[in-house]
Amino acid sequence: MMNHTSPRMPTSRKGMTYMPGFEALVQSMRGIFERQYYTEHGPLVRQLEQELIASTGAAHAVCVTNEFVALLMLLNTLPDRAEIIVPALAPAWIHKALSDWFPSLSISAYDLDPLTLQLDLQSLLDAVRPNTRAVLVVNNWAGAAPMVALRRELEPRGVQVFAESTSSFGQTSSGQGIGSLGTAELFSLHHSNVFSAIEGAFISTNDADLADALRTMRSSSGVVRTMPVKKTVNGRMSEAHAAFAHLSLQQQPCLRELLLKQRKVYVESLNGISGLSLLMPWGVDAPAPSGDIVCRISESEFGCTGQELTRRLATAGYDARHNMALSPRATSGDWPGAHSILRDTVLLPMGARYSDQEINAAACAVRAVSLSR
Amino acid sequence: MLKQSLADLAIFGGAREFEDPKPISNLPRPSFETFCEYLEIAYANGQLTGGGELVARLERRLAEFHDVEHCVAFSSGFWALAAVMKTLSREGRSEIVMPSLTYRRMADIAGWAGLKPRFCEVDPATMTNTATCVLPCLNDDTAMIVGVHPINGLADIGGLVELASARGLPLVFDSVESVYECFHGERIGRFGRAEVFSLGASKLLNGFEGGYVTTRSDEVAESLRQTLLTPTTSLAEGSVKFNAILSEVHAAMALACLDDIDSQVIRNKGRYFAYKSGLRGLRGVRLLEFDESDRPGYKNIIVEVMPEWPLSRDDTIAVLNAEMILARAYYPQPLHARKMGFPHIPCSLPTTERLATRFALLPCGELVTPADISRICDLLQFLSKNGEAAKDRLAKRQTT
Repeated sequence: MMNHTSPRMPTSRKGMTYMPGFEALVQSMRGIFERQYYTEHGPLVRQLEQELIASTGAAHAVCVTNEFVALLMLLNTLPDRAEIIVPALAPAWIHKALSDWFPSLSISAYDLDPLTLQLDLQSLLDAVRPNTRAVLVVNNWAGAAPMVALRRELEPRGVQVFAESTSSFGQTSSGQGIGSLGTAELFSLHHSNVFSAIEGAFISTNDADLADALRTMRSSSGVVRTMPVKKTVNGRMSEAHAAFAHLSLQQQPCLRELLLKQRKVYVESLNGISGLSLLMPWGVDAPAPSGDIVCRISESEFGCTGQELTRRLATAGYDARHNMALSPRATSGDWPGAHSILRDTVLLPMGARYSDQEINAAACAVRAVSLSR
Repeated sequence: MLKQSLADLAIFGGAREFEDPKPISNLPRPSFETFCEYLEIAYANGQLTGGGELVARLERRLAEFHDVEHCVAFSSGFWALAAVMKTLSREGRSEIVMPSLTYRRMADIAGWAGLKPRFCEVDPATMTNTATCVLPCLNDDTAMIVGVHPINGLADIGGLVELASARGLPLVFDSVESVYECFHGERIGRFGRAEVFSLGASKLLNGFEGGYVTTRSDEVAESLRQTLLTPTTSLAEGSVKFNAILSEVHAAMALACLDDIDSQVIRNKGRYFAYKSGLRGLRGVRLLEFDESDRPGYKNIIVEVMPEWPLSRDDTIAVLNAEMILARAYYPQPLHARKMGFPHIPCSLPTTERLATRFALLPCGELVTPADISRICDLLQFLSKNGEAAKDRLAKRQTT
C-alpha cells in the first residue's frame, strides 16, 4: 500500500508543456494580425527555419504541420515497394504510420542495445538486404546512434539513414549537431517536448534535392525548386505555431536548467533504491537530460519489472509510460534488446509545470513500490 | 491610376497599379481582442492542444451552425478529407469518383487514402459533377463518390444523393467553398455521409490552418474521432490512425472568425456588388453571378473570359499579375492532366479541358476594398479597348 501524503500529479499532464507568459504570446499574435500573414510559409516560419539551421548545423530545415506528417513526407520520397528497416522497439505512432499509410513498403526490424538504449549496430547491419532503401533510427531519450558510422556503411549501398531525433535537439555527437548527421532527421515540436511549437515539426537535411522535394510536397509557398514528387500534402506550419516556437526557443536555457534541477531532485530522492538506475543519454558529447527521466529497473533487486512499476505508478496517479511498442515485424523472433528495454525501462514524469514537491512525491511513490515487495 | 497607353501597363515596363499585392484569398481578420479572450481560456486551462475546451466548443458551434449532430475538427481540410476517404470508402473496393476540375490536391488525397481516382466530367453550366456526370464512372470497384461544391454555386446535391443511395455507395461532399450556403433552406453540411470543410486562412473561416467534417451519423462521427492519434495510442487499436489534431490556438482563431461570419459575408457581398457594377457592360468578361437563393457567402469572384475578349485567359492573368492584381486561373490544370505518382484511371475529359482555359479568380477578401475593385475594373476596361494591341505586343515579346 502506497503511503505518501504529497500531492499527486495528474496523469494527463505529462511532458514539458511549457507555457510562455501570456502577454509575450499575445504580442507575437498581434504581429501576425498586423501583417495579416497567417500561414503559407510566412515570415515567422521562414525565420524559424533559419534558426533551426543554426541550431542543428544542417544545411536545410523544413518546418511542417507535425511529426506524423513529417514522417509521411519522408517515406513518400522512397520508391514504392522499397524496404525500410525500423527499430524493433519504437514509439507506437511510427509503427502506425508505416502500417496504416504505407502498405506497399516492405518493413523489417533491427534490435536495440539495452545498455545504451540506442540501436544495436550489428543487428541493423545484418538486416540490410539488396532491396533496402532506408533505415529509420530513433535517437532514444536524448541519446544518439552512431550515425556517421552507419552512413559510412550504408550509403555506398544506396541506403538512406533517417533519424527521429526529437529528444536530442540541441545536442552534438562527435562534434556535429544532431540534425546534421542523418540523411534526414525528424524533430517533433509537439507541446509535450522541451522545444515546442504547440503542434509542429521540422525535417533537417544536408541534401538540397531532398529538401526541395519536401518543400514541393508541403505547400505552394516556400518552394525553392519544384521537384517531382509522388504526392503532395498539406504540410504547412502556421504563423501562430511558429510564433510559439520562437518563444520556446528563447526559453531553452531556462527550461534545460529546470530539467537539470528536477533531475537532481530525483537523484537525491531515489538514492539508494536497490535495482533502480537513473540513466544518462548515450552517444552525445555532453549528456544532458531531455524531457524524460529514464530509469532501468532490475527485477531481481527492485522486486518487480519496469512494466509492473509503471502499472503501479499509474494506479497511484503517476504516468510513467514510455509509449514504446514492438514493431509488428518483431512479434516473433528473437529481440532480446527490445524486450529488455520494454520490460525494464520507466520514464518518470517531469515538466515545466511540476513543482519540486510534486517531483518528490513521484519519487516517494517509486520508493513505496520498492518497499512494498 | 488610369492607364493611358500600353506603355503604362506594368508588364510593358509601366508603374504597377498597386504597391501591395491584391490576393484572391479571403484572409478574414476577426477582432484581435476576441481572439485573445478565447486564447486566454486555453491558457487558464493549461492546455494548448490535444483536444481541449476550445476545440470542443468549436465543434459544438460548427455543428450548430451547419445544423448537424456532429462536427469533428482536424488539423486541415486536406487531412479531414483523407480521414473521410480512408474510413468511409466501401471496403474491398479501390476507385473513388471525383471531378477533375477541382482543388489541385484532391487526387493526392485519394492517393494517400490508398484509393484510385476516376475522374468525371462537370456540367458546363454549373461546373460541378452532377449525377449525370458521375453515372458513367460507376462500376463494381467504386468505393466512394465525392461531390464537390464549386466556388460559385452548389453541387447537384439531390441528384448525387439519389444516385449514391441507389447504388449503395458512400457519398461525401467537399464543401470547402460553401460554408455559408443553403440548399432548399437546409444548411450545407447536412448531406451525404459527411461533408468536409477547411479552416485555412484563405477560406471563409480562418483558423490559421484547420479543417472539419460534419455528419448526421453517430457512427461516422465516432469512426472519424477514432482516427485521431493521441500520445497514448496503442498498436492494439485496429483503426487507421494519424496525427491531425487541431490546436487550441487555431480553434481560438476559428471561433473568433465564427463570431464575425455574418459581418464578413456582408463585406464580401459589398465587394461582389462592386465587381458587378464595375464589370457591367464590359464585353468579353462575364462575372459569374451568385444565386441568392443559395444564401451565398460571396467569398470568391469568378469571371469567364469569353471568345470576344482580345486576350487569352492566361495572358490576361499575366497582365493583371504584373500590376500586383493576383488573379488566378480557375483551375489552371485539371487533375486528370497532371502527372500522378500513384494509381489512377487515365481518361480524356473534353468539357473539363475546355472549361479549364476560360475562368479566372479576381482579387477579393479582407485585403481588397471597393475602391481597389473599381481600379481593377477600370484596368479591365482599358484592356478591353487596347487588348488587340496588347496581344500583339505580348506575342512579339514571346518570339524575341
